[in-house]
Amino acid sequence: MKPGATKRRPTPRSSTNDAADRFMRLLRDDHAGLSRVLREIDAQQSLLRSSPETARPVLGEAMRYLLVYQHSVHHPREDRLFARIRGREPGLYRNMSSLVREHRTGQRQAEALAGELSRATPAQLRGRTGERLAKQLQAYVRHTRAHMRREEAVFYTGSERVLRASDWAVLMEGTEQRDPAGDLARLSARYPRLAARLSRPERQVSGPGETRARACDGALQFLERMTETYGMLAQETIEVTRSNLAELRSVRTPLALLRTASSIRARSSRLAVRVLTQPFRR
Amino acid sequence: MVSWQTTTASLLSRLTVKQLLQRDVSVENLRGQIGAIERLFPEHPPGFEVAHDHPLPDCDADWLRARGAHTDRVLLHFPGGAYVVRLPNMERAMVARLCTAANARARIVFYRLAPEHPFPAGHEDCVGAYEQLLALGTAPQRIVISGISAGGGMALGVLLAIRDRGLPPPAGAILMSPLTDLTDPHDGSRVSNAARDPVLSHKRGLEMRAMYVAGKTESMAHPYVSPVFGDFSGLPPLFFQAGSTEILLDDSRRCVERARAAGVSAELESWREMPHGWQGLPFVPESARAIDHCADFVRERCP
Repeated sequence: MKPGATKRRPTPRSSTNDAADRFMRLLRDDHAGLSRVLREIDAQQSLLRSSPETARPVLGEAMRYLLVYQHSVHHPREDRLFARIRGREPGLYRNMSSLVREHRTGQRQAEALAGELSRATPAQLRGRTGERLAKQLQAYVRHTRAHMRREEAVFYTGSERVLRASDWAVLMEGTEQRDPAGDLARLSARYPRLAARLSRPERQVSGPGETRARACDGALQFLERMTETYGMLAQETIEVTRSNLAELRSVRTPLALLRTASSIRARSSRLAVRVLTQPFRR
Repeated sequence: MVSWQTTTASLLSRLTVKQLLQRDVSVENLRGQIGAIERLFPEHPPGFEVAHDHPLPDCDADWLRARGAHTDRVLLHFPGGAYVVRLPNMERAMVARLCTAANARARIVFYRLAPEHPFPAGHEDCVGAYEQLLALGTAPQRIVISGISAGGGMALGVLLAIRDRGLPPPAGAILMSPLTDLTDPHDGSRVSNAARDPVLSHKRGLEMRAMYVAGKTESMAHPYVSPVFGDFSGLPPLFFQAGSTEILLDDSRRCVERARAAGVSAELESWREMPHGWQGLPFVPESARAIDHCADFVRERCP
């Protein structure tokens, strides 16, 4: 397909298509909810060291959501889909077995992270333990996103083509549970802190290893002011040099040379005064 | 803590880009000097096809798709550059990274620039690009509009026009440090962050803004020009990102407030000490994270 060409999503025309569409919609909605929570986890892990009192409860609920829904409901759903595809066309998706393996390793990582988060003291979270946990959470988020991308390649490229009506009927059995992250009211019933965070209008995101005390903040702002001042002076110096050179090039007579020398001296003196005094002005 | 790459980029920007934006240089000079940044980026992002089929009548537009990718998600992207300058290679590189992360393909609209083509030329180009996507059969719920800086303001203006013209709305919009108020209120982050912002300065603001509206300063408050004054009701979910030290931070904050007051889902990510347009700097670790957050939003709204 050319990049410009477009494709409408398949519209359900028969019960087969309808079941396929509903099942795939379910998986896609699960990914939508997961993406929403991953974004929050990534924001909160960046604040874990500076604000463990607020970040830890949100992260704790987010990890619980992952374990209770994504790892226990969504992944088994996908595993069943992959097994059906493998049954129909074993050679179609070579990476499917690795996707299933990643479900297991992801769950183990999530369990370990949830445990460590709940056990760590606030002091530990402010220190090296917090730094390590934040890195591990970031890695977990990164890995989960990459995993979702690989799965989408399977979703979008042929599961509906490969599977038959009977497959979809079996897959649709026992799919009553819906992702609570798709509805904040439902999410807040079980994960109130996470839901409250997700409904906020503004989310702070920080770089890795953020700590509360920024002793060097004042120094940094001073450095920024100085950089800006000297940047401006450097630009002015370039402009004055250009003007001086242009004026020198236009000299044709000894008298003009004298006038130019005087003009250059005046212009350069003004610049020198600015270079010497500007940095000390508020 | 800000990464050393961001600190370095901010420092260099403070010494060069910010100085340039503060000085009295011509548009040609500005385009030439800002354009030098383009040399850092390849014309075509590696691993991507850039196509030009289905051209738009009055401006250039690219289709961007990862080779071998299968997806029906479409990002309709509007570049930044104060409506006056443009960095096409940098925009393509950023959008390619977003496409990879979100498993999407993209349509980048290089709308006409001021002062040669003042408002509403660029705005009409962008609305036309959306109408073309619909005419080509793309389902609106598979389209996410995105824009950075002035392109973010453009994206919001286009969303208002889409609503006003009765067109079906897209699934959502990503607004990266959008410029949403051309009337330039001298308060809030425009003042409090003036010294800390390593990229933007409003010393020459009026002159630059006047170019976009061909000197008709009364047009600056038009909702398609300054969408912060628009009625946000009926807009799709909005996702804003801005740096905490940007002078444009409040442009996003005010839009989020207005959108939520109108019952629209809107959220702002305020990234600590990130410079304007950091999403476009591939060597900055926070850029990859920000792009991932945008991709999360795409997946959330376009499952």
